[in-house]
Amino acid sequence: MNLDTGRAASVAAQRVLAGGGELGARMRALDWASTPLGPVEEWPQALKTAVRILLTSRQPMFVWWGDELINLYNDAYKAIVGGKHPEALGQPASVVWREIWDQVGPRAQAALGGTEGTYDESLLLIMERYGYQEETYYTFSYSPVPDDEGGVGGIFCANTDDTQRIIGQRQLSLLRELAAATADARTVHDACRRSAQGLESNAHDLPFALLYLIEPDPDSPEQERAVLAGATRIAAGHPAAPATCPLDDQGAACWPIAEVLRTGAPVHLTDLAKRFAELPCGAWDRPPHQVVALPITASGRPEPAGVLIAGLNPYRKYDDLYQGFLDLVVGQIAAAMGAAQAYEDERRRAEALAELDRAKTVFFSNVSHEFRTPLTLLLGPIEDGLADAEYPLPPVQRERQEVARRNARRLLRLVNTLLDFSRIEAGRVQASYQPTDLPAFTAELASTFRSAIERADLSLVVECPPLPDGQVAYVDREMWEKIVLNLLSNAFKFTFAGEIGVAVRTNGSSAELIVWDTGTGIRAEELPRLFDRFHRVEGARGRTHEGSGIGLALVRELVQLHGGTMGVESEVDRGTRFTVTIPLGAGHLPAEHVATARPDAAVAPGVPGILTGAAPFVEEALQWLPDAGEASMSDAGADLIALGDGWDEAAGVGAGLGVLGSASTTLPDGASPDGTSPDGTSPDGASPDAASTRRVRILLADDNSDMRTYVARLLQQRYEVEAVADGLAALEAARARRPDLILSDVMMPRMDGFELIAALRADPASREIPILLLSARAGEEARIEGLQGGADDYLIKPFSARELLVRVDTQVQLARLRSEAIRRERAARTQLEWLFEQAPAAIALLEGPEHRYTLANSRYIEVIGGRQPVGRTVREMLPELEGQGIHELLDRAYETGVPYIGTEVPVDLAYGEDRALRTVYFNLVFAPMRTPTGAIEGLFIHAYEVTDQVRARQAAEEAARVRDEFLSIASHELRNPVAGLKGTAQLARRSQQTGRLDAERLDRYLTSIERGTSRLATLTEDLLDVTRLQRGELPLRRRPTDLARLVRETVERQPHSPEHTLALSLPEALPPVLLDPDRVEQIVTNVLDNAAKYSPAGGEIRVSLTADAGALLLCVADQGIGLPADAAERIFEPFGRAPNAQAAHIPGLGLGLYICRQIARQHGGQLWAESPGEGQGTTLCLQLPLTTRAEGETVHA
Amino acid sequence: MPESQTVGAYRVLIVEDDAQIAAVLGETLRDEGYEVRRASNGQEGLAILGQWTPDTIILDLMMPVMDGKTFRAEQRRLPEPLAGLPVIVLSGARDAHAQAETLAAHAVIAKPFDLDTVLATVRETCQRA
Repeated sequence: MNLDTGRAASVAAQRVLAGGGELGARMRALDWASTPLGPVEEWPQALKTAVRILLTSRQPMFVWWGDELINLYNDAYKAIVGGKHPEALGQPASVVWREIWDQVGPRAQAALGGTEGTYDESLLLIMERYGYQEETYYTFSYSPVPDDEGGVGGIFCANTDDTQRIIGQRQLSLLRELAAATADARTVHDACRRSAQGLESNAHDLPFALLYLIEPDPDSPEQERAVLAGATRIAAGHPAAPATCPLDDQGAACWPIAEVLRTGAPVHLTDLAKRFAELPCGAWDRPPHQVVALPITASGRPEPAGVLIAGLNPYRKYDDLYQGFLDLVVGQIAAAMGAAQAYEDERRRAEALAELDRAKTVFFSNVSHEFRTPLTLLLGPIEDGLADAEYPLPPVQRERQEVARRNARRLLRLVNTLLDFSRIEAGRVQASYQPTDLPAFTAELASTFRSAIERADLSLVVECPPLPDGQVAYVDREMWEKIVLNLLSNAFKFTFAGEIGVAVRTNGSSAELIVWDTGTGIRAEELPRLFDRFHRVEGARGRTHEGSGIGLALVRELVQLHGGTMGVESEVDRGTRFTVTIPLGAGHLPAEHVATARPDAAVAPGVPGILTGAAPFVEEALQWLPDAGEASMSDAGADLIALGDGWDEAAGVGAGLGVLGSASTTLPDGASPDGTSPDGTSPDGASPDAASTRRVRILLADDNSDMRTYVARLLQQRYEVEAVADGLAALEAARARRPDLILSDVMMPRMDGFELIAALRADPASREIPILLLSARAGEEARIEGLQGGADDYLIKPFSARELLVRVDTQVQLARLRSEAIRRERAARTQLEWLFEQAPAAIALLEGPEHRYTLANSRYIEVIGGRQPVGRTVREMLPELEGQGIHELLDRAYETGVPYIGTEVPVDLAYGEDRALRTVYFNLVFAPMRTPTGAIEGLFIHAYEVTDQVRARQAAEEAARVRDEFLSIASHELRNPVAGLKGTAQLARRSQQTGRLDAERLDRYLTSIERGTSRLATLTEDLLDVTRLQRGELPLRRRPTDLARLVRETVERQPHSPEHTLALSLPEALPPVLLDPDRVEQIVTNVLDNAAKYSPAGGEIRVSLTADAGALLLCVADQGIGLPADAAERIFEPFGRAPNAQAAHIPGLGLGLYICRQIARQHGGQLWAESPGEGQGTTLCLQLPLTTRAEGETVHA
Repeated sequence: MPESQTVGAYRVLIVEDDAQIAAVLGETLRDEGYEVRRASNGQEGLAILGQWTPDTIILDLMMPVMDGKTFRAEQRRLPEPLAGLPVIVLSGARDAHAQAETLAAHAVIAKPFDLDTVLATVRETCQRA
């Protein structure tokens, strides 16, 4: 190779390998001549094209060329080659990829062997790029690249690295599984076991896992040890999974749990193989060789509760991403353990309370018993003294002794009741059920109260007809006595006028005892708790405030011991009716407690046994009468309020009614209008939430100042209250300082409650504030209206203080839970978004059948042209998709639940200010997302843009098509003159053989041969020029030249067609400029030839040459067939010819003008065509700069 | 020559845009006693068929105005006997044989050709017709 061609060769190599970043530079530097591919200038055109595509693409690509499949790749592919770069350049593919050649080799052979490429989606390849074996996923296709001979010269491949996506999906799915598996855990151990199950779902990243909990060592409680609480893919008892692990050196030989606990940080072990043999492999073909031990620390606890031992994927590096994933796993497990711990604590508290209750019962029982003895000993001497006829007491002493006896008896009764109750509670009651004439017995008991009742100006009604024949009631008489007397005592206590009644009757197979009165009644909301122990109806007006609150509870227990039930109906100010129902007969009673004594024996009137039991009740009742002592009614009705629109009128009624309006009069100076009892405990038994660090703020809006003051005082016990007079003031206050709850009246001036709600809900800052409406508008319609208007709850006046406080408390708790839930969801979502952001693809989440975006990662936003989609639907967001079938694919995936997976799906998307459509290609997945119950709630979009890849392939296909066309035209155009030549020669020979070859024939044949030869020569020149141009090998040889002279001489040399007139307009001479006269002459010849070819006979061809300040302009105008508007550029393309129908019969390869334009450009000039339209002639213009001297060109003087 | 007399009655239509080839073929066939007419594209060929019925048609494929393929399709739509006239395809295209097959040609001769082959093929085609 001489110096000159050597330089040309290197120039060629520079052009083919131009640009391309680092790999471009390395390719240029490489001595290709020493590789099987040979010097660059000898490379087949197809290889050069492929290398050009590769060096100009940012998509990872490579070419394997030749028999040895020599590897060439681009910068983007470096990441895939990894540590093998740069040695991999120019190496045979089978060497570069020896570790995966068993997978890749056959694919390469398939692509080489045929016309079809291979396509693999997310194929798992275990690569060794950085000195360790690594799990990778690639989507790639091997396309055969034809060489210039029509065979297959090599393989072209564009790659998509799916590794991060696949791993990300896998990990995400594990976190989901983990959350689902642990949701219902009830104990910490349960949470660990379920977590271990949840970890089963990802055998790739967690080939095995162990969960150890730190617990006190039962052998030496001051020591702690680790206990295996969950194992994933490894059997408990495996040497690597001991059931317990001490936190000492011996334990550390197994796992570094102690170290993790000491440092609170993960410990990474790389010597796994040395520690254990035969570890589980998970999804892989070999066991992990690394393990990480991570602390599991529940939030709010200083010490780790446990340690997760995670076997690591043997084909992945333990990097930040992997560690981040494990942190999320541990976080999830910690959260599950925390939730289970909280549940467990709650259960223990409940158990402790139950235990406390039992202890209390035992205590009561013991205490009562101890009280009875001294009381009995006290009563005995008093009774004796009063009954002593021998030494009678003087009247003054007798009176004193009677007071002492009365109160001692009362005390005894209380103690007895308590004891009865304790016995029942403890199940130690000794009942004796006897057949009893229930009506007579009951009437007898009732009559003991008659005198007391009548002394109170009440009447006693007794309706106890005998039971029908054959029906017998079995009761424990002592118990029945207590049932009847307690109910009568209760009725007497709360009745001031009217009557008290007792009735016994049968109702089917049951006997009913009814005790009714016309007393003060009980409010409906009290009724459900009436029979609770120690429950007293607060504020009910009665004859006394005394009472243990245990009487009715005892009655119910006694009734239940008879297999009976108890009911109560009551109406305030109208009276109360208790109904006891017990089954007749003894079939429902335990047989060992049923006595068989004759009924009549026990019920004879005046039997002292009965009256002994009744006396204390009656005596006590008599004490309640006004003349016996003062009635305590000071705080009657304090809890009840009746407010609202009737407030002002009601206030005037006064306290006498005890219910309506009483609060209004006592409010200004009332001791406890807030519903709490004087000792400060609140009515519902809950103490103010001491744990809350900040006082809850309540905003109260009511236009009635009394109401405002009252409710504010109620709430101030527990909450911080701000009170305003109308809706507008409330809105301003809420905006100034956000309250935790708003309590609002409905009817208010300036702005009513509904308007206030609407205004608050319209503002995102106040949208979440719970609102409780207070209104006098009763009825369900108003309630519904209230909730639809956006209120969270609704309270109808009148309401009780307790009801108000309960509702307020509920709303406050709900709001707290809501904000906690929102916070948690945000955190989970942030986690998800982070993972999505890491993904190399465009990802979006859609919700509902209208496909509303709930999430889009930044790549997605980039893909759709920077538009923010969250909150809008796909149809709103991407209207340009209408008619492209994408909406339909989304709809189908949502409706059928079948994911759509599409490769190289073309999508026209609008970009930029003018919303211009651009076709972009995607590998798409629309996967349905399901709720835990399996219903489809939305779609997951995963889109990977492959436009570059598709375009590169299309360009390669187009290049191949152009080349095919070129070959086909060239072969036709070359074979015609050859056929003519050969035919002429044979014809000459035949003529000679047949004696026909005269002088005329000979001359004709020779002329024909000459013409054919020159046609062939021109064609060959053109083809050669094109090839050289494409390789950049057509150097100019410039000389100072007078263009006017050159044109004139060329025109003269041109064989003049007699059919056309030639009009020349040339200057005499021009200053010489630097140009290659041979090449420029080629242009002029071609242009003139062209004009002649396309001009009709008799047409004029005008040639003009002008020079202005910067350039020379040569124009050749014909009157020929002209050009359609869009063809002016096409005729300069290789094989481009005028598309007019008339042009079709004009011969030519379509290379001339292409070559001419390239030459013009090499001179720094231009060549173009102008035509007003078809049939209106064409002007070809050549413009050359006056000073044409490009850098680095050779000048031949 | 005895053959020239026996085949003298046969007529050949040459449809070929390349003047040199057409001239060589025409002169050779005339020397052999054939009656020859030439058309420089398919359209001219069809025009000749309207007034003159040959025994064989020699048809080039790549031609301006109307190419060989279109000519062949049009010719086969003509009334008999024109539609049934045998066609010898003469082509410089790389896939000449495949194209000739789709055209249901009676014979194919690739360019560049031997005049002996052309004569033998024409003779055979004319005699069979």
